Amino acid sequence: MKKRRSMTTVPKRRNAPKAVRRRSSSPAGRETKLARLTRELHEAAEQQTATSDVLKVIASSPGDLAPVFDALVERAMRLCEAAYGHVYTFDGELFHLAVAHGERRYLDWIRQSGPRPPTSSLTFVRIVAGESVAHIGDITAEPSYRSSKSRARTIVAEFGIRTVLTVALRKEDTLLGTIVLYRQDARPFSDKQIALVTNFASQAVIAIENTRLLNELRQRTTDLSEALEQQTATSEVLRVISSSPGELEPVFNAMLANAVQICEANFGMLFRYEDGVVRAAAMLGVPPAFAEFWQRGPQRPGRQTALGRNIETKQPVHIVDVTADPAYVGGEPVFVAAVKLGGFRTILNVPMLKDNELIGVLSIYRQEVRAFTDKQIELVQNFAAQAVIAIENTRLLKELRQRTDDLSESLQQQTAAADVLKVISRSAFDLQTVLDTLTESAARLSDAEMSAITRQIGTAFYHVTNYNFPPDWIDFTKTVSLEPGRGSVVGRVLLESKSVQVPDVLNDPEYTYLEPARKAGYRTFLGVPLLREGKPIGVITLGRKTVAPFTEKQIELVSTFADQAVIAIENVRLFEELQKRTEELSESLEQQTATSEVLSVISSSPGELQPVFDTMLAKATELCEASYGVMWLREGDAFRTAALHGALPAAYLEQLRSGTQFRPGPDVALARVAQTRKPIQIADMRESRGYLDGDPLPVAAVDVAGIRTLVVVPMLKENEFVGSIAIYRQEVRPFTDKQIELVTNFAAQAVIAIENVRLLNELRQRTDDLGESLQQQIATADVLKVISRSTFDLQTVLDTLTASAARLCEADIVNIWRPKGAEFEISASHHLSPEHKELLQNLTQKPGRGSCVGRTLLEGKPVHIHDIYNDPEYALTNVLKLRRIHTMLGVPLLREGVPIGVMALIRTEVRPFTDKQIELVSTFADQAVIAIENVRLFEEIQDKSRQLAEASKHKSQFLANMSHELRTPMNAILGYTELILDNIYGEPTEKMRGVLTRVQSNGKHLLGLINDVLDLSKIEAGQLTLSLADYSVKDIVHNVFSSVESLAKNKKLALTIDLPPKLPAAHGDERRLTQVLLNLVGNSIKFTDKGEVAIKAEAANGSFTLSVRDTGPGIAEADQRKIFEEFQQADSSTTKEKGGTGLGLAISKRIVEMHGGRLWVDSRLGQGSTFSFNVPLKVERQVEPT
Amino acid sequence: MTKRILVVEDQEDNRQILRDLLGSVGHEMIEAHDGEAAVAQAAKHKPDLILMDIQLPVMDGYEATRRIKANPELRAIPIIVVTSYALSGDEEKARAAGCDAYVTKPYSPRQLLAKLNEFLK
Repeated sequence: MKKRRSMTTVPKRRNAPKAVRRRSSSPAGRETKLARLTRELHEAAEQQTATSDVLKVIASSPGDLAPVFDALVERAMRLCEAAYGHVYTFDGELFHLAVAHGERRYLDWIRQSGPRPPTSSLTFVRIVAGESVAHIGDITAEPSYRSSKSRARTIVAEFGIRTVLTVALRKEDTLLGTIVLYRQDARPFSDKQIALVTNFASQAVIAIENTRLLNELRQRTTDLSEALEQQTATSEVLRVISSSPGELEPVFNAMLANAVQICEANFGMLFRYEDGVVRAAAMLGVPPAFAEFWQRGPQRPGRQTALGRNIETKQPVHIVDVTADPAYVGGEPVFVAAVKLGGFRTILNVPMLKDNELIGVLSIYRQEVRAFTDKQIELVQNFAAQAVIAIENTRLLKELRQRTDDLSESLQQQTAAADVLKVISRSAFDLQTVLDTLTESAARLSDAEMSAITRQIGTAFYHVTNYNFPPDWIDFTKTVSLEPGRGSVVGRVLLESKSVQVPDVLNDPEYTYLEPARKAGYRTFLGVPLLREGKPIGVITLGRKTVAPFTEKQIELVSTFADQAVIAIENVRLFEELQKRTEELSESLEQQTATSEVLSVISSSPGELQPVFDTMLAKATELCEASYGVMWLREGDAFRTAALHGALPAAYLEQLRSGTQFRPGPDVALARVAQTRKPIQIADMRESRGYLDGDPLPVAAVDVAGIRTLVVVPMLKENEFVGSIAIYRQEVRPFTDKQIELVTNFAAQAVIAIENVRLLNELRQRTDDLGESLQQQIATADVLKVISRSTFDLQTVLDTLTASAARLCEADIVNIWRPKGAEFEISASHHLSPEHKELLQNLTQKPGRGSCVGRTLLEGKPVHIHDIYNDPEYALTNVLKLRRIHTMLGVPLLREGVPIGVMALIRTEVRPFTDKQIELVSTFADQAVIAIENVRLFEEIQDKSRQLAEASKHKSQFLANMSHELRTPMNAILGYTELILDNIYGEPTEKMRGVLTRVQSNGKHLLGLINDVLDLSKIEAGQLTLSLADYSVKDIVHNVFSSVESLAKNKKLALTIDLPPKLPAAHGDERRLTQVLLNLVGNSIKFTDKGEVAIKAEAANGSFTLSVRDTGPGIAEADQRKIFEEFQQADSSTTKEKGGTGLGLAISKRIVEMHGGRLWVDSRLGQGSTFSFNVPLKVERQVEPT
Repeated sequence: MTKRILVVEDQEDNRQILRDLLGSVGHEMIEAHDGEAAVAQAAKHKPDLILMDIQLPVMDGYEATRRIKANPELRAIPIIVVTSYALSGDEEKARAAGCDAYVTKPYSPRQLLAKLNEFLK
């Protein structure tokens, strides 16, 4: 059942040979039913056996396809009676032979034939196209066999193959390969056999698939186990790292052990690198002799060693065979030692990098030459990274421990004074609280009844705190300043800069500070200095009402408090200083901001001073906390208000009204500043000289505007007074130096701004000037461009001129007047309205004073009429009135001083033209003249050329006609002569024959002349056209040779040919080139009386050269050029003797040139001549004469 | 073997040369002095070959050639144009008119005879 189904899946081939069908579909008649059944049973059994055998093979050799394929093919061949069997695998493009069975000779052949494309086989093509089975009953009967390439024929001819069965190995839609069976007789395979092979094919596909999966599984397993091994190693190292913090050696050892083991190395080392030296930090399995080398101490590795390379590149160094390394070969001592002492062969050094700095190297070695794999290198790199981490961890751990130790110590120390510190820290910058706390704490802790702190304030010392002192003592001491001296405890401490104790103030002979002592009632009194840099800045004092001296310990404690008091005072001092600085800073920042604002105004309104002045003054006034500000600029010996700021009273403003000048009296601040060029501050105007003298300005300032304090700052440009800025306060409060400086700064900026504006305006003026001249230049250039572009289109040029003149000279109408007969008419105009144009169409002008144009013609120079209505000579016409014409400018177009036209510019308003504009119009007029002149000359030339061409044409035509007309009689002359010489009219006498021969030769010479003249006239008329076709240079030479051979023989000259064995085919006009060579050879024979004439051909670089060398008289250098000209021979005396027209070379030269070639002569008088011409091998186009 | 040659030529000298030349080899020569006569003579005598000048009165040789070649009965007669026109394009024009060969004047009678024999074989 299964078999039958598989049979039906085999597609039936439409063109299967009939024999196949008959054999497989109908039982053989003579066979008995039993025999048939027995055979079928036997067959089925055999096939079953085969299938199960194959399955067994598949099961027994997993992952190995060859035995499976062998088993399949062997059984398939046996069961299908095939002579040859194959399995091919297919990679999508080519078929690869996997196994083949058959006779030896065939196997040798098929195995060396290599992978095959589908097209190499009649059946592969069909399989690739999608068929499952490709069966050919007889290859030789295939229609494509006849046309097929050698392969199908080879297998038939060489190996007798006739029948082919190819079955596809296909998994889903993918073609994996084929099973191919051959028979040596033309006997198709049966359906059953095909079904069997198809079955085998399915099994092969299963086997291929199994193998693929198995290999994949194996690869995965290998990958996984490898990864697992490495992971295990890594985790082991990590465990060591974590279990021995701070200890590196076990980590290094574990790392090395794992690296060596996993990477299948023989031993390993871990180096540390520091300050250019390397030391071994760990070794594993290193041969003792080599280990000893490193145990001696750190080494400085050579640059060529692996370590040296690590240091230089910070990259892994992998030396597969150290004995093959150039450094070893070169005798590098470390390498030599490594090989000699340690048997090193393969080295892998991986750098340990921290922040891209080399801190060590992890090395593993093999004593055999075997490269480490990429994975192994990666693993060692991983270990190296971990080593870096371990080193870093250890370092951090040590640091942490050190820090912890340090911290605990300082903590112990600090705990003691914690309370005080707490206060200090809590009220860091409230000094009084700190000192109060200290005073109280000192008293309490040292069993004193009272205490106080004395501080230096200014130059003297005062009590600043007190604890438990009675109020009258406090009142008393408030005003008492203490000074160094023996009379008081404080005085003594200040004197000695150390602690002083008076056991009983009442019993101390030197003690004089008795009144306060009595008021407070103390007896024993202790003073401890507050020392800063060894100097007392205060004293802490403690008193006891009984005579009970303080112990050393108590004094020491008080000293501690004194120190803390110094720290507190110092802190506050620093804090205050900081605050002050900060204030100063913010102030200067404010000023800076103001300055930058002013600067931004300056930059944002270039060329405008008012906003700059306004901003500047406003900022100056505000920043200096002033009420008003005024800026003055000097104008000669007077002043003008340039800017004002603040709500100045109207009455005072009257005084300062901007724009009006004023001259202050010599004592007024402004005048003094102008003189001294230095800032002046008047603290109170009311007491100033100017005010007291009654100068109106200061009087008004004080009495009207209530101004009291004022600062005036000069504005200086290169130390020259150009103005000033003044700011005012309505109260008596002087400005600080800083404020004055600020205003000075603004004054400087004001000067810069003024200067900028001046420069800017200058620049603008320059730019405008330049722009104008540029515009004119451009216009001129434009016109010149138009002239050069339309040389012969005069109207365009004149139109451009009028348009440019109108635009650049701001004219409403521009006309160019040119002669018409005896008068002048408009030949170009711009901005002329059509109606106006019509009016002027027939208007003509002639020289005369009544019009601008007429006057210009009359005077021959520019005429400028500002207003025609104010010109008594002007003849006003309606047209002029209608167009409202006022200003006119006429510029003559002069050629050799004579006006040949006028360029007239018109304005419809009274606005005279500037000199520049008149000059520009003159330039335009000159250009108009040039253009007119150019056109005139051009037309003249054109006319001449036309005439010349006409004449030349006539000449050529004449020559052509003449030569034609001359040919007809020549025919009769030469024809008759030949007929007579050919004895048509009977035998002429020998004498007659001689005469006729001369007639004939003269006739031929005449014909030659006629032909040459015709050629030349054709060339000149441009009628000579080359007939371009393929030709052979060799033929040309041979043709010429045979036509002149007899001539040479007659003169007893040797005529030779030198042709290279191979001349490339050429393309050109064969007849004309033959003519050229004939001419050259003919000339040589003609002019050579003895010796030889040699023809030589050469071809190179896409062209060929033909040269004719003779042993004739040669040509003088002076004549060498002449001979190529028409009707010229080197020596005219020879013409009579030798004949010739003198046209041949001229024609030859033209013909060669028409081929894009060159004709030349090399000759010296008395040494013969060589005429040569060089022509491209392939001439596709005729070269026109230039 | 005697052939009948039609010579179309307006110049007596040139006709005489041909007369002598053709007579010397035993050919029969019929004459025409212009193109129109040439067409008529060709139709009348059905010559074995025609020698045709180009510059002819009444009708030029080009037209005469064209007409003869347009006549199915005469088309097979070879026409050799014999002309003193030697400008480029002249031969092309003659070939376009239908002539079988082209010979420029002045010709060598010997060579013309050789050319004739090519067509008379």
